[in-house]
Amino acid sequence: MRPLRGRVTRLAMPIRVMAHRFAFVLLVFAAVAMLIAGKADLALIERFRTQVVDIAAPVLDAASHPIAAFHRGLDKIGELAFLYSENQRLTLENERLRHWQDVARQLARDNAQYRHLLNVKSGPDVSYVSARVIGDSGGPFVRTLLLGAGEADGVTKGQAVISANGLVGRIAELGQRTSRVLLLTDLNSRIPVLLEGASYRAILAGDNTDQPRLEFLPVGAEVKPGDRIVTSGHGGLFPPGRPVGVISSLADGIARVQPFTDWQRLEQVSVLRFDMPRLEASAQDQ
Amino acid sequence: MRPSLTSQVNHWVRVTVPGLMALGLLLIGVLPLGLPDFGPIAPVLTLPAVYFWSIYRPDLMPAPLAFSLGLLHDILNGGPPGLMALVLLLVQGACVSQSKVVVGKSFVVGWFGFLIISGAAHLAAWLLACIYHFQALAFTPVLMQFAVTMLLYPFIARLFSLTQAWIARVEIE
Repeated sequence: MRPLRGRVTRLAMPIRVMAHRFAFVLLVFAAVAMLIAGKADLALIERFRTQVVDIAAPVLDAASHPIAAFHRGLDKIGELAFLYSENQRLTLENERLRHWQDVARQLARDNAQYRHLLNVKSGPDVSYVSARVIGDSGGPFVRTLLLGAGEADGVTKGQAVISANGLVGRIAELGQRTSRVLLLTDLNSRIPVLLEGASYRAILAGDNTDQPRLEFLPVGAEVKPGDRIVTSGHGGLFPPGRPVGVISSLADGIARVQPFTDWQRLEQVSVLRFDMPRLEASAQDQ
Repeated sequence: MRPSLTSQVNHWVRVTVPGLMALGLLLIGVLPLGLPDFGPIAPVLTLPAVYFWSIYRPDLMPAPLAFSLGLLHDILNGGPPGLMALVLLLVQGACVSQSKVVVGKSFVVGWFGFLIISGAAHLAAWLLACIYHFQALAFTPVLMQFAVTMLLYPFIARLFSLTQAWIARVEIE
């Protein structure tokens, strides 16, 4: 049988090489087609992506726990080393905050009184969904996070995501058990904001750097480094008045904003469930 | 003669180990490691995996595997779908066809080969991302990412060559 087998191999080899080449070319076409379909924002591609992420989520979730524990351990060691100075700092801060608390109470009382007098409609209700960060996009082209909470937990697309310090981004993709946050530093992020105090409107535009730009500031707007930026709530996606960051630099007419969020320490974030009462009412009318 | 069960299992293990290792490296890349300023320059760890295996054991890193690893990378990182799939596929093709240049040479030659392939891959990824977003993206983070990948390569390659020796041992038994 040997000669026959040799003949078969001689015949089969080129066919196999051909099949490999054909498969290779086919895969290249598949990748290009996917890029085009992704650019066209096809729903099919998005569904495929969210399903794959949903499948990978348990693994990522399990693996991210020890990392979080490791960081907490490191933090503990750091805290022990600076126990004395940290205590002093906190005592001073506590004094300052106590003063602020008195002021805030007074203002809240006044505010409630005025609202009552003027019959002001109160803002929309905001509730929170807390979610664990299970994934972090690496690489220079995107700035996103994966959260271990999705549609089943009440998250919907477009909702704002905040950390303890400030705004993080918004929900861009939604799976059953996972969701993807587009960080406010990402190239595709555009968030309507206000300069606190002066109430100038602007758009906070991410460009993949750590410090997003302020765009569409009114002509003649007076801005200086240190000015606080908050969400404006325009467009109805984000609740107004949430802290975003401070203006860090003004160069060549471009104002850059240093976000309050500490990107390295995002273990847990909150998704804001925020419904515009007006929109809900009109939905009920229909 | 049908191969015994042990040898079948052995065969199955050696065929899947490179792919599983690459998958593990891919997942490490997605985890929130919380290293300061690391995110934007985090290396694509599947790149050395695809390079190494398609040069030294092309039978264990076929084109569909490279494609799937790239696609999973795109999906988990939230990048343009198909970008890294295309890049890793081209890396696999280039390595399989040029493996003679590197195989049997010293480690430094392998590293130099990776320098060229990885440089071309980073450049290709950057160009594709620029076309995808219709704008010139910053190149510095890509260079940094390239440098980090180059520095990590010796460690990853060492791990792989140990695995390769182990697979060869299993094959003989």
